[in-house]
Amino acid sequence: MQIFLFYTFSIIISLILQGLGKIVLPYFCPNFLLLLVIYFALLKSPVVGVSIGFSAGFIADIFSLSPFGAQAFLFTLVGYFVGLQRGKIAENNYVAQVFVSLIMSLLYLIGFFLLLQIFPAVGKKNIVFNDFLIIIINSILVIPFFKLMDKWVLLWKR
Amino acid sequence: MFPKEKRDVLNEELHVRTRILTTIFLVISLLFLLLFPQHKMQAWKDFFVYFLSPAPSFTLKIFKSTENLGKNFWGMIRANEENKRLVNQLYDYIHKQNELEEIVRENGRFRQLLGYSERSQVGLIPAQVITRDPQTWYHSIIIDKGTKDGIRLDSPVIAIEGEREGVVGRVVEITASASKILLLTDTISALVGYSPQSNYDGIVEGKNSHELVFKYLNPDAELKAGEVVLTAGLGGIFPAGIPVGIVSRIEKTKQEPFKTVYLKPYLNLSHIRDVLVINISNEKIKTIQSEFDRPVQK
Repeated sequence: MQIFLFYTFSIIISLILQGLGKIVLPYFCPNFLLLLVIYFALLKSPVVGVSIGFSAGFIADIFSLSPFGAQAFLFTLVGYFVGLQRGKIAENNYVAQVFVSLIMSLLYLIGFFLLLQIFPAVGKKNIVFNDFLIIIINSILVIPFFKLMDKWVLLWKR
Repeated sequence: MFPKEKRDVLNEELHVRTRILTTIFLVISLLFLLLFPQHKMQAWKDFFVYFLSPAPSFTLKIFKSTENLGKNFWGMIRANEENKRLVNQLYDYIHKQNELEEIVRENGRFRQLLGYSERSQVGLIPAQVITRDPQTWYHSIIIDKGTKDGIRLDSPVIAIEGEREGVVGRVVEITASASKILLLTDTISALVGYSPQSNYDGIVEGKNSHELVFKYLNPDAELKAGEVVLTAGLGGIFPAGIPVGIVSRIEKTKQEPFKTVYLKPYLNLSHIRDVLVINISNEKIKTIQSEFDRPVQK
């Protein structure tokens, strides 16, 4: 039960952070949900990464204008691919964290663009300059976000 | 520590479990993607929005409460001064209201004389913003009113910020108790804008940034920085005369057949919490369009 609550609250807090980010930085808001999926997949286990990816994506789909299921699909894939890297790279190395975040944010952007071409919910969109800036912002924020998550995990272990 | 063979077996088991779980989740996601366009998922989405909306609205409450701390303090200090100013403003508004009522009566008489039909009345539905789109790709908000409150798909949405009224966007997804509003700043948002000073129409589009672009303007259109661009009332969604943006810069390219002007949104859309949905039927929009009697373009 406690583990279920921990993961649920982790997703809700990331969603709240995302909401606050959209108010403070409306056009360059970092993708905290993506960072959350990367964190669990890289530092916990691929099973957790995939499960968190699907759940977080499903919740994001409910509140988003994106085609329903698109984010659940992409976050699951992110969880899987990052989970595969577990043990192959130094998970606690900052450079590795930044690199994984950079690659996954880029793949997420391309994946989302392709899904929108196949399932245009509200309308087709093109990738704009701001989308690339968000990838960089995600990579910059990955280290403080992971530090925060470490503290959050410790809090639940007590 | 486990021996190497045991670790390999455990790793293999973990990989198999991950693969099975990933396949299940991907299949479910694909089913969502394939079923959703048929509106079979709408009831489920409505159900989840109803249960999950308290979480994101909590975000706005935190933001609101912390933001108001400083405001309340300064508000107490300035209360007396503010009161005097507001009383004077109220007298001014009463005077203007009387003048306006007289103009409306006069307008009614003239419309009768010219044989125009009665101007349609539009209803406004006040709503609160529950949350913003968590996806960075879209610029949209969710409000706490839906079909049961009389909101329809494509209803135009406006907001009042201080004494300024302006366009927010339009309803693109609707459930019984909530609606999704596509903001004007999104790249797939577009409406017909009108420059009252130059008397030309153009298309106002979002750019996913702090600017809007006013496209396909006649090259002879002379717009100046600071000029307010309004909705033209064409396009079947927005009624005429609502401020959209303020001209911030003008692109001068002699080669292109159209002029492009950049606008700053009239309202700060990232901080909007309360909106007004214009409850207007298609019939009424058509009536307003037919009544659209501004001078013919140059």
